Amino acid sequence: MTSAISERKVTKRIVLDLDRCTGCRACGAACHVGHHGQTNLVPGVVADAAVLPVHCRHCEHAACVEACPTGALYREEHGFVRRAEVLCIGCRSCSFACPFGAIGDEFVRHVSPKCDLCVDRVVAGGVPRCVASCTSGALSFVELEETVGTPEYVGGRIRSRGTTRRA
Amino acid sequence: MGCTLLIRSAGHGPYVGEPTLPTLDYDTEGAFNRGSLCGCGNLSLELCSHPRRFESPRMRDAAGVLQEVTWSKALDEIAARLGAIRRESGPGSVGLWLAPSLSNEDAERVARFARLLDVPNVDSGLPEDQALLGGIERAGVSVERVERIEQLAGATAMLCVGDVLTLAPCLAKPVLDARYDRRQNLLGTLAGARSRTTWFGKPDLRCAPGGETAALALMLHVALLGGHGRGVPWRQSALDGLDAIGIATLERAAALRRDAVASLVDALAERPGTAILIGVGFADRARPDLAAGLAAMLAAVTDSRLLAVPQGANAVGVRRALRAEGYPDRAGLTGPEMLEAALTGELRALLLFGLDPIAATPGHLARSALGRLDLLVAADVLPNRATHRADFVLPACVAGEKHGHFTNAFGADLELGVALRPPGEARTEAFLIGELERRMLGGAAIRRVPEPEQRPGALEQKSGGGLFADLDLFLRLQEREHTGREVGTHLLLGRADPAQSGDGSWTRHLSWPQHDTPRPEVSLAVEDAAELGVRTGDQVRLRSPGAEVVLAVRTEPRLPRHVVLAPGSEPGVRDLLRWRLDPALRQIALDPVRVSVERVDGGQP
Ligand code: SF4
Ligand code: SF4
Repeated sequence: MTSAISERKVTKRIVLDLDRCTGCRACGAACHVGHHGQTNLVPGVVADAAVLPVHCRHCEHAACVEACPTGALYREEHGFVRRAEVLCIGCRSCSFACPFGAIGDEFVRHVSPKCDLCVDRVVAGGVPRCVASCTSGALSFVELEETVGTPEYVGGRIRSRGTTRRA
Repeated sequence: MGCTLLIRSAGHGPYVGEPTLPTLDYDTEGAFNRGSLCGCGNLSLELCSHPRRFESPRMRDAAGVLQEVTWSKALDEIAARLGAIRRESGPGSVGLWLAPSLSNEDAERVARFARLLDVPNVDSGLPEDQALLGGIERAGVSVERVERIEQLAGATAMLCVGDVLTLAPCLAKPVLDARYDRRQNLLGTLAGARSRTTWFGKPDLRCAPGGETAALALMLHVALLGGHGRGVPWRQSALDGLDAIGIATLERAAALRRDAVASLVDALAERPGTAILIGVGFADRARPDLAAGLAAMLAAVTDSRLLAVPQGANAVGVRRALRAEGYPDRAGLTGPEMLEAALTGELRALLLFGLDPIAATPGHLARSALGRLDLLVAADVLPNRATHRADFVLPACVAGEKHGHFTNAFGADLELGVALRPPGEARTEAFLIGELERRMLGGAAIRRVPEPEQRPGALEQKSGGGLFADLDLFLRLQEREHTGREVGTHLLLGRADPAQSGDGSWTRHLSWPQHDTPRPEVSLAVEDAAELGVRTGDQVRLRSPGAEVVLAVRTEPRLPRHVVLAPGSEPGVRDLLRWRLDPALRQIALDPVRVSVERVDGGQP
């Protein structure tokens, strides 16, 4: 079982380039459309000056999974942290536990929003909807190993420092 | 949609799949901008199956209630009433106004129908877009246009006038590619208030609110004085016109000093592959035509390419199609003129194709004008304030439900196929026009369309003195307005809203704008908010004579005092505005509006 999971594990993650995001929220709209009207990207308001999407990092040791009292949050076969809709009771424990504020409080059908990294697209070789739709090229879907080592990377975000990055 | 299916800047349609079951895809390998889709574009499929879509023709009965009728009943009645008005009051009493979202073929069809009926009154699009595009034509200068996305992405220096990245989010990738490609690249932004575009400004030229036109004139003056544009034939006349106004006047009106703009002007002139982008200046809506004309002149003098970004999805294509058919006709009326003619009774019948004049023109006038008509026909997809007043509502199709070509802002024609069936009995404009033609003129008439006379459109004028004389007058009026400010009032400026497109009459129905910005917000300077005793999230009432709107507050750190920024597509905000017909432009010119702002007690909205 373990080996089957590791074979299928997707090690790419969404990274936001702070220098490119215009705050247009097209990523949120794409998420909204792709998830039946529930937006799993939280708009992060930076001191009244900017709005940037806050996305789930699918942590290796996920605080949200630990906090969930019903086991609704779990790690699935590709390594993503997902939410079983039928088990979610909308208690918001995950929302409080997430250190990044990646789980918002927009309850649709009484369940909390949780990014599934658009697993339907990713397993087919695509990129998550928000990344594909991003109007500025601020969002990219990259190998975590490649990104974490770079000096620009800070907890799921990068500052581009004058380089061009493409989705 | 402002950017229906990437019409404005991308090169592919996002519909894939079976005709009845389309899904949205993102072509990340797409040649244009690699899959980007703005918020409204993402939601475009909602229009196709929207529960409020018109699915059958409706006719107002004797009691004033819109009742469902068959297409043949509606068309017979419209043809009979339109024919009677035309006979009684002449073809000049009939008008047609087209949305900028129509396809090029639809626009041609409507124009040819009008010519068959001898109707001179045909206009398209939103008045601001007409002013923007007309202003460039009116300047009459020869300037290269941005024709390919790479010309933006590879630019070494660029000037963005207005909030172009909110108007056309799909331009963000190439613009930011240019910005970050090399450290020395310049992305200059010019605006009266902070916006999504100005975040990236290097330099971020912050002019006085409403001062973009003066700032562009200042940049043009600095460029000419700096010896640039030696090859342009109108160099001396432009210098004379600007000298007559005086550089000090321009500096004062723009609240910018000549040194602040000089390095960007030099970079635009001296570097290879530079570009100037101009969107409808939300902060400077009063005369977007002047700003656009000056931007075109600056582009010519600095050897930069020009890109005009209208609000309407196919504003360029519909305008071009009408002009090929000889519209706007010198003897005919433009859209805003039709509204004035309706008030005097000169115009008795108006056919609207996807356009809501009440949303397209701010203020109250359109509402009263539509109420005075003897016949109002609205072919549209979703309810709006014009369909509420119409005698006939005809269910139309959106892009994806009909075949057609659309011209993007780069001037490229894009073809969109049929991806899904229209709901109920919704029909294309081709069907509607064909059926009206058959009823009013007989089938043979289509072969007898008179050729348009080869006369210049009413908006075309020779370049030179006219523009600078208008600029001088505009600056004097603006100065008078600014110095005559009543204590306690605030200058109202419009803000582009990324969740709304065009005049907002379609996008307002989509779930994302409602989800994303459920409460329209007004930006107040931090000091003004403190003086009023309000914080972000509180409510304030904005009042102008005859209108008021309640909005949620957002405090804005760098906003000048006594200026408020409100969403330009919000109906309540548009009601606060006033316009007059500009005789040279034959489109609307907004009067600067001062509003009083008062706190609404009773807690947060
Ligand atoms: S929701 Fe938060 S804690 Fe849970 S996996 Fe995502 S980032 Fe980590
Ligand atoms: S789509 Fe891209 S640019 Fe727009 S808000 Fe999202 S990350 Fe930022």
